[in-house]
Amino acid sequence: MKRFLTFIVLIMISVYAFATVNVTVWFSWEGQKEFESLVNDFNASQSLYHVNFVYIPNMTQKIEISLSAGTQLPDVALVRNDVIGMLANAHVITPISTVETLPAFSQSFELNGRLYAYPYYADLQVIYINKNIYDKTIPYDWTLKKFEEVATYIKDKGYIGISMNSFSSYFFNSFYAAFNGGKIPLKDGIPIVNNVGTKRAFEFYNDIFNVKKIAVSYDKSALIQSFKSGRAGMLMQGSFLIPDFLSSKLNFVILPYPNLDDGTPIPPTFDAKGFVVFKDNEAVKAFINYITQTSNEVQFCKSTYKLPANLGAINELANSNDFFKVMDLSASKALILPTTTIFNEAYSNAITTALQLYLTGQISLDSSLKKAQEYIDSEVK
Amino acid sequence: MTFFWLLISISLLIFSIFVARAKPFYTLALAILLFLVNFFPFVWGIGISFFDFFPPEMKFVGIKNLQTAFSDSGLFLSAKITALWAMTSMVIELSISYLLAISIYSIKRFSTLLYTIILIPWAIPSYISVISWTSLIEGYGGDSFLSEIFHTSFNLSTNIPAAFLWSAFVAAWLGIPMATLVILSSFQTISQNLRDLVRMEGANPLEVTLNVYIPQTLPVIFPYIFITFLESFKEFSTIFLMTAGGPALVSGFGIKSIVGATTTLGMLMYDKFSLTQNYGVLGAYSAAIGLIMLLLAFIGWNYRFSRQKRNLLVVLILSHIMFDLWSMGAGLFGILPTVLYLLALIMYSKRKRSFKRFVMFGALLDFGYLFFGIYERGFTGISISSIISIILSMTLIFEGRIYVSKFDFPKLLWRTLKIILIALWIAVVFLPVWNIFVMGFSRENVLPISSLIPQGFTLSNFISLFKDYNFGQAILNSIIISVIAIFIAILTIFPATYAAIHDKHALRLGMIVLISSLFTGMHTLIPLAITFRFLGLLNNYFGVAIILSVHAFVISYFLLYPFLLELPKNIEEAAIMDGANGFTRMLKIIFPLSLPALWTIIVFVFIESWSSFVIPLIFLNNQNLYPVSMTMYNLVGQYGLTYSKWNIFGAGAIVNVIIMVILFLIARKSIINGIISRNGVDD
Repeated sequence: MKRFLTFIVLIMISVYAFATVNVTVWFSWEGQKEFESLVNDFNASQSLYHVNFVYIPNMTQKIEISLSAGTQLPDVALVRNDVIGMLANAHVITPISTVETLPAFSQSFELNGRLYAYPYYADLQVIYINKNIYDKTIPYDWTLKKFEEVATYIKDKGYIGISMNSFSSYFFNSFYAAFNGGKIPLKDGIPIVNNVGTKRAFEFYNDIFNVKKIAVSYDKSALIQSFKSGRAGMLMQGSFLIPDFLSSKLNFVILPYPNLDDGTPIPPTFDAKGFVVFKDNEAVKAFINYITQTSNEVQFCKSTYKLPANLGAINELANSNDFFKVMDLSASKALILPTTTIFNEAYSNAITTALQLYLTGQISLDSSLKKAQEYIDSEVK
Repeated sequence: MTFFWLLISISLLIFSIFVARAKPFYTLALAILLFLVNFFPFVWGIGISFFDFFPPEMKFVGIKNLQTAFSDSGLFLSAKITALWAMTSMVIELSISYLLAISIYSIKRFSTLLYTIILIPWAIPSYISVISWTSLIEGYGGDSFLSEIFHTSFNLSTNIPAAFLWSAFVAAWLGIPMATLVILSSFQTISQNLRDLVRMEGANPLEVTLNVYIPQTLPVIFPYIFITFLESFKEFSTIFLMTAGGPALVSGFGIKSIVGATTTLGMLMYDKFSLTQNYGVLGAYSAAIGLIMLLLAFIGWNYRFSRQKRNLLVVLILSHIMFDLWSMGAGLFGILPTVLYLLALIMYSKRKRSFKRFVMFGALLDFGYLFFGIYERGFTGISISSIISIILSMTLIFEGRIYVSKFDFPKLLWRTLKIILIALWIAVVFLPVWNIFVMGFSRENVLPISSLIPQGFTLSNFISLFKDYNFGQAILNSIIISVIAIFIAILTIFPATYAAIHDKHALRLGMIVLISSLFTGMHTLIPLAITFRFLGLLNNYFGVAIILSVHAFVISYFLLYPFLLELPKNIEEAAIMDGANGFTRMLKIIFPLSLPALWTIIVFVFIESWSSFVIPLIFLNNQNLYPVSMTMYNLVGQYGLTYSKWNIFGAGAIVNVIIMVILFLIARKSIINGIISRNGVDD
């Protein structure tokens, strides 16, 4: 009997010791195949942990719904930095220790001085130029005046000067910051929109979309299609499209965002993605350590054209070609968006609505910004 | 948690005592599920609205949240938009359905084929047809196949009339199969003598329509018209998939909510759900929207007594007062029509036919107010009380008038018009279907804008669909969910309906099933998600299947009840004499005899479960559990916000449509019979 019991205990200890710990990872955005391949490599490289890869098409929406409904969250998820505030407020993620990376990455995932995610990569907003329509060389430190000149030239040739989404708060943020002295104007953490700088940014939009008509507004799919089909000479979009355009054999170059005429840079949004940990354990740590290794980051970012968070990977990729060069340059002047709920929800909804109403001529500039500010302020209460 | 369990236990006990007292052995299972899915969320929503509730933290705040919701101008505007949108969609649906029904009623050749074609929009899940329509309407930023035909841009993000009218049209397109069959079945109520008389008089089709079809059938289908309005009022999927709330409105840029041109109440509730983590606020909005729905359900319920017009007049007056007082009606102006309706009620009580005049004048005032309100103030000028009054007034005052056509068109012209109409509708039915075929076989991931011919024919999308997007697993998940839903529906509905046949008190449950179908919507689904969280039913097949089966209760019950009622009584009497108890009789005698009706129910539940989009959207969170609907939606994403994989979506849609068409062809007869008897018009 004793032998039997000892045997059972040994079996149980062995099972406990050698049982595979499962880790569920939610992944989104581009690079599904590349990341899945890394996950498979990780699973094959050891037997203690097994990572279940789940692709989530719309991560932000999924997380919002999961929090509202209280549905099960994974162990780890790749998120954009704008959901950090929401997740931290819901107390579903915990701060992590510091990570060696570019300051922009750390700042992206910081809230109240604490880091809430393992930075993985970043996309940068850039300007795509169709070389078949405009083949002159433009210096990287170009100005808004030059930008308008190029757009006008393209428009005069019968194409769309610049294709961009006029109602997207996400793209507006760069102009919002630029016209407000280079940073998002906040007062006690609350975005201020009813001010001179924001009015100038709105007027600039009105000028290029409605007065000069050198810009045409589209939704995301239409934006991309307008450029791919050769109807638009310039496109304002994220660097994530580079692989798609390359595979479609488009003749294009990318440029950093221009500067205002007074030299203030229009900062592209630093669209950082990082891993938040919902259940902290050894398995999760082992997996995060594996995928953020220099060689693995290079493997992922090289084919997907992402700016890696790992310093070694940045050094390896930064000067490998012009695309990474522009991304690196853009990162140096990039805009880190606040991660607070008030910015990502109240401000975002308010500014989208205000832009739509103002640019379609339904409301005056002053009224649109006044209403937007009232909405933001009421959400704070 | 204590609060949750206390509330659910007490309310469930009260509900069960009320509805499942008679023959509880047979009815309790149905009652519990019905309560859990349809009623408790409303109770729970009200309960938690008194707290600021960030689970597990609860802080009592009194009526603060309720005050926020009940006084939100965004809620008022959203309700007004919902009412106008629902009426628009209903008018489109019924107008086209009437025209189609009249056109194909007299056609004998190819009638089966025509009926099948008419039913196609019903058989295609909305997550396919709506997305396909959207791509045809909006294309890329308004540049689309249809915009080329109409020579105007249809940007659904900025063009208010386009977003409003196209979404109403697509919702109507989805409902036309059902409405056409209901109208066709109502034609059966026209006496043969009358038809013969009209034929002998040599009336032309216009005269037949205006003197026979419409006057003879409209009163019969008035309840269906209101149900259509109510269903449109609750519509969510079409708007969510097409416009996601629609273009911004100045009047919708409020302090508490932002409401767009198509932000119906379902969308508003979903937006709150996405943005608010405070369950107390969600509960308060759920309570406010629930109250509006309760009022409408109450009106719908009173259509049972449409022959006794007193009930309808009373609900008309009550709803007018309530919406006028609650900033969603005509305000002070509402006193005028209300007084007229009150006078009509007095006249009706004295059995004076002149009551119709008062109703008519009241309706004219309401129509005038609505028309000038919208003309002057846009969406804020909408009056829900006026819209409801206009619909109810039609029921109250409608009388057929003798119409003699001044024009004598040749028969050939009528026949040509009929053929053109049917051909046009066939084109409208097949357009979105053809569109997905074009996308599915296109090599390039682009929308067909100028021509409906695949751009570079390929089959690789289908390979990619199964290899890269795990579509096989999605099909398996859909089958699992549908099968569980079928089992739950049969196991609960069959005993309860059997009990209703044998005990009149058990019939009460049937009535509750009907009421709950009128009342539920997004405002009950959101608190239900919170409820399921506490019950551990989120994110699994079983939870989703429970909801789908409960949603299928109403159709199942009203298919099965008349069938069981007509079974010969002597078979069961013989079994009683042989000493068989009730359960044995139900299982061994009635169940086998009911198989034809149960087969129809199985088909219905399967199709409804397979086509379900909203429930998996809210209740599933794991890609491995995603049914076909969610996998398909994820390929396209929210329109305009994501970089859609149109060609893969097309391939998935083709596979889906093939599955549905095979099923549909197998069960076509059951479906047509089911739809007709569901609406009870032919009974």
